[in-house]
Amino acid sequence: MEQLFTNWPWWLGGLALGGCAVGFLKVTGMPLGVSRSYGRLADAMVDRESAARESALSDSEALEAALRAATAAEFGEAALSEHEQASQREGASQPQQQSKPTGLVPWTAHVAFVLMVIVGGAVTALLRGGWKPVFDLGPEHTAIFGGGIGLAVTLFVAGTLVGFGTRMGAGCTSGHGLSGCSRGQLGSMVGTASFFAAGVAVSFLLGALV
Amino acid sequence: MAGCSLFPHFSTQGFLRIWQINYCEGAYERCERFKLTEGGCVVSPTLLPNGKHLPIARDSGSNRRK
Repeated sequence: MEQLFTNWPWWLGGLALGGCAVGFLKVTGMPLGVSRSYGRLADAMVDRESAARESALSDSEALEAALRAATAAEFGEAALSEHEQASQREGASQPQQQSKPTGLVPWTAHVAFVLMVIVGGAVTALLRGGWKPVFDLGPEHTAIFGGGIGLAVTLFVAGTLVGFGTRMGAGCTSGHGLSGCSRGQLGSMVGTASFFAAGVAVSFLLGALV
Repeated sequence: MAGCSLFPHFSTQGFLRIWQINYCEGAYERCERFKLTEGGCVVSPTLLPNGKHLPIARDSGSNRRK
């Protein structure tokens, strides 16, 4: 309880998180999701083709050529020319306000995002009185899972489960809780309620074991 | 459409409006990107509404692998 009052105001954290979610959507055109960024990095590491696809799509000229080819293949050259001419006629009489493409987020941007999550945590720790390395997760955790190799195994298994779960659930706390719920996505609301309920239940269970 | 990374590109050139007319505004329920999104799946950036992939990216990927 004491830690609750030594932390920064809760509403400040809410404003910061909300600002991040809105800013991320504004800059990238995609909803914020930390696991999505981790997933993109994992994809880029294990699948070079995936990274090459995103890289190729960031080239606007190559993208336009690819879209032209795909459009001709799907609708035919005649339909393509017809729409192009119609667009030019509309453009001549009434300037068309084109929306700016948001583009795809390159994997390097995901690297920056994930790194800054760590840097942001470190900066916060420094501002709150200093940073120091910690080699355990508290006395309760150590009492249940032990330290040393036990801690390493626990974190490895937990990390694997988190990665598996976020892929299977198509998002994590930030993706569903922040981005999905704020956009009124039913699946995100159910997902957020589920994993928070499960988290509370497991916390009580582990608390009873200590 | 708000979360679709490809949708804004369909506004950049006149000839690309045909995709918006036939899929985004016309029959979005048959858009493969929409189906995957509704199913909670990650949508490939190169996936077109008709279920095919943009040709350039695949070529680029295979070339880089060589």
